[in-house]
Amino acid sequence: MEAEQAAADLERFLADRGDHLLRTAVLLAGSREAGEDLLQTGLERLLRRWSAIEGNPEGYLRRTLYHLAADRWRQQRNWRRQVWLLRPGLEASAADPFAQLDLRDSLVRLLMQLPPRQRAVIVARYWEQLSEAESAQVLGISVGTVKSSAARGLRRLRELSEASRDPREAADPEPAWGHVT
Amino acid sequence: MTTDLETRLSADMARFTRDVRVPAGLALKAWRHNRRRRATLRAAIASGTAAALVAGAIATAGATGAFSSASAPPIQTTAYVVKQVDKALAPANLANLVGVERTVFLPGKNGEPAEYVGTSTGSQGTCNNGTTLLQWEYRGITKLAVYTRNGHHLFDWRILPTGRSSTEITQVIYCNHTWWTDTGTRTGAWNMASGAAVGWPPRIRAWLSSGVYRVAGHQVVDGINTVKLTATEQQPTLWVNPVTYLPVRSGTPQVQTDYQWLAPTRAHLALLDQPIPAGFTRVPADT
Repeated sequence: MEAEQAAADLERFLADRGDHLLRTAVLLAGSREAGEDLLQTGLERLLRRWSAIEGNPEGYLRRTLYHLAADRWRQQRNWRRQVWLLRPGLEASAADPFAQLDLRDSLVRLLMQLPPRQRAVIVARYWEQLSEAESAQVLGISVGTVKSSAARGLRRLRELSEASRDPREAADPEPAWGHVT
Repeated sequence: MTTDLETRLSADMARFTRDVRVPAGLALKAWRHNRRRRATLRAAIASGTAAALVAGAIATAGATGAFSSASAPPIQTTAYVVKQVDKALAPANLANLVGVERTVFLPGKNGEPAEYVGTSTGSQGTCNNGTTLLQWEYRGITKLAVYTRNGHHLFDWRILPTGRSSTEITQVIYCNHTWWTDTGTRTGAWNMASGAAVGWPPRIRAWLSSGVYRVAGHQVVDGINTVKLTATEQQPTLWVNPVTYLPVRSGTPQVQTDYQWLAPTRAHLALLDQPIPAGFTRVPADT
């Protein structure tokens, strides 16, 4: 009964804050499907800690999302290292989660080419509009690292954006097995 | 100071996610999944006791080389492990897992691949020299993708059961930008795909049923302290997870397959899709 009550409380919490958190998860994970998976995993962790969390659970859930995203990036990087031989050519672009999206979102598309930490900092700073101190707290890194990662990330985005006015040419397609975790 | 890039970035992120809404019932889904996880953990803890006993027996035997001595129960230990692997690979136990297998045909003495994993031939030309194969399996659906050593994508197969004895098979051939699809029974040029459709779990169960496999100690594979099972020179060595008993790797000196077992999340199930790339031409079935 207590667990069911927790699920009902969580449903109410999601009705209020769910859309924003899912959008954060989508930006961190790179696609809607992967974002939903990420949020669901975060919710499962939240449920396990539900009774121990005092006050608003959003902070815990947001931290969990960033940490889970970082874990997945690391796992994917390890997997890709193992399958570097399998890097497909451009013909695999059908697997690119952005292929069918509005290409005006080119900066988001380029965002996915940044290293994990830079990507997370950019999402925290420019999507969530968190301050440098708040971003540092959520990501578990120093304020200095937030500043340097944001600066490097923006510089890289600018370079990528200038290098390729046509996002279709700029994109480095995500391998079809990129979701493997 | 906010730069133009930062403004564009915020606007792009808002536009990218503007239609994203939390699907109804996500909390309930998370709660149910959590409940299943707890039940699985309880079961794993229960079986872990047995696994620990087996692991202890293996460690002892491995350290002393006493598998054939009277001090260790070698047949029972091997029998236990083989039985657990067979059970783990039973269709009912794999119903909620997406199997991902990556097979590499390793170079032989002359640096050439020991064997080619696939060739697509027919009126549309030939795509061969495949040395690496990725395969995804879930509830009878099989998809496989074949690559060259240099990572050039040669072709994909997707086999979809459509009835008790019928399948729909689709092939996308990247080297000549063509594709075809057909339904029917498994014949002729479908041999390769039909072989793949058998899937790895039944193959591994068949190996183990030969009765020649023996536990040969532990070996760390991809960070897992696996139980190693060896057979004759002709048969692949198998490394299995000591808790789940699912295979982690199998291989001979010429061929190696690594296994992953994933939850059937939407993202993982999407790996079984077979999109037709834009601009590819449909051709008659390659029969």
